[in-house]
Amino acid sequence: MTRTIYVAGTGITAFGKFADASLGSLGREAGAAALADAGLTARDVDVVTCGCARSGTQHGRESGVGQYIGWELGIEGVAVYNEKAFCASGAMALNVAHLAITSGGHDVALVLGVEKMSSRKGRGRPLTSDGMVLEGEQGFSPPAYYAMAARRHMAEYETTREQIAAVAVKNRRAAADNPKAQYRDPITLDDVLNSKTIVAPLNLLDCCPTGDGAAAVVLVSEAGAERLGLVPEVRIDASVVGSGFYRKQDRNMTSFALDRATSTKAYEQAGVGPSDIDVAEVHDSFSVAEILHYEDLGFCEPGMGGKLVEAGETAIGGRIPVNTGGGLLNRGHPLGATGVAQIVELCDQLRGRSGSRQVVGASTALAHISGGFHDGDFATSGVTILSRPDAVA
Amino acid sequence: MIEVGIESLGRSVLEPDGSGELRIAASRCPECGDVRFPRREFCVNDGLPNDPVQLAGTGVIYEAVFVGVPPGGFDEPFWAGYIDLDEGVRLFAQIARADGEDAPTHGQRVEMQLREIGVRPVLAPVFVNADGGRHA
Repeated sequence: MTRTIYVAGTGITAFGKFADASLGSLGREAGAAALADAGLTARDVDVVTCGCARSGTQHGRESGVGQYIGWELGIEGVAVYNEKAFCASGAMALNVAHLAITSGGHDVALVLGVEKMSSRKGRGRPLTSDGMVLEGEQGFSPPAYYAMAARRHMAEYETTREQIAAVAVKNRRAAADNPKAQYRDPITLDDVLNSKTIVAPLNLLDCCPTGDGAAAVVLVSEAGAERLGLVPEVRIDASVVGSGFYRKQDRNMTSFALDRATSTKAYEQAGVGPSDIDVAEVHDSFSVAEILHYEDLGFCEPGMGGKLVEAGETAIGGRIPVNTGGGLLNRGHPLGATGVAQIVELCDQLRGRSGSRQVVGASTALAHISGGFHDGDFATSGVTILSRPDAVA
Repeated sequence: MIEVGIESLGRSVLEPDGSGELRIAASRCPECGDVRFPRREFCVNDGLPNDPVQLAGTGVIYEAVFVGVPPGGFDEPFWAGYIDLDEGVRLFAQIARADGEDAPTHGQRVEMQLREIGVRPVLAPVFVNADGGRHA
């Protein structure tokens, strides 16, 4: 990487179910907030990237969500890239903006992630998965996949149902302090264990909700920051995405080669290791997913993820706090918005403005997201590593 | 009866064998022997055109779960999971149990039956205990 890239500003809407909101209004609110936070205007932006996974099936707008939001914001005459990568669409938009600036062709990128799902057909049922259409005809759904992974993890490592539920309780505790989160009322282990069974062993409170929301970040090159008089605090040290591995059919569902490959590349690019991470956002679409990802990200040894959360090591105040904004489970999971919302949360942490959920002294942060399924593996995953250089130095 | 695969892939994943019985349609690389379901035209290992093959429909359960809240298109809860077929293919399918039969277990031998699933319904491979699902 030849150019240093910073996050100059962030913005996020409340996540939830908003009947009157549109992709345009949600994106505009987050985008305007990010530009204001950076001290910039629409005229300063020279490239827009936008992650939105289901605009076509849900809003009849297959193409051009980024153009639509740019139009709402008064951004004109710039390159706009629309990214559709399942749950990782926002992370992909960040990666493309990173590429665009790294290329030297752009200096100021507005990265948007947006989704509006509250009006979707089939409410109250699990979402289907675009990459698993044949399996979908036979009843496949993401909670079924993760329930199978949970059963494998429980069988191979003696992970307990309570350890899995502890992820949901921990992340709800964090969400209580996040005014943007969709679900904030405290829950207990018993609440999780006694909630309605979706796909055994996973219950309703083990599953992320659907909803509406948008998030945005402004990326700038070092040259762009100088020209605009910005002094950004957060640097992007790695932005890596990858696709799945499909040659091996008898894969072990407790670990994902894709996440191991993506995170290894990201650690190499950033020149850090798992033990350097002070705070992380990890894809907890389902409670058990967070446990699997701890292990693939190197936060603990294989099989130890359940014990890690049970011991409180991933709670705020623990060794490596994970999902301090509530995670997908509680902040909510408007698909395309999530990958950018993770960056918003980590930038707040690195800038010391997370209030009562602040991880004291956080200087290096990691975001991980999984996107969709294909042929029994994930379709994509993304890892971003951020730091606050003045704190690191 | 609509066969599984027609809606999602534009073609059935079942096809009749020599005696007219419907089998799972798969592919096999003439070089490395990699067997794939659904059928793939080319082997990603060798770049060669694959040969069409039909699977015996026997294997073991890798993992199975009870889907209590089914996705759209299904009104009733069901068991489903990944089946490791004897030819080396892992596939997702529903699993049927006879009344009083225990829950599916890791490594349990199963065999394919063709059953109607879902609201529409579609004809799909459903796996039962390897004695034909009669045993309780």
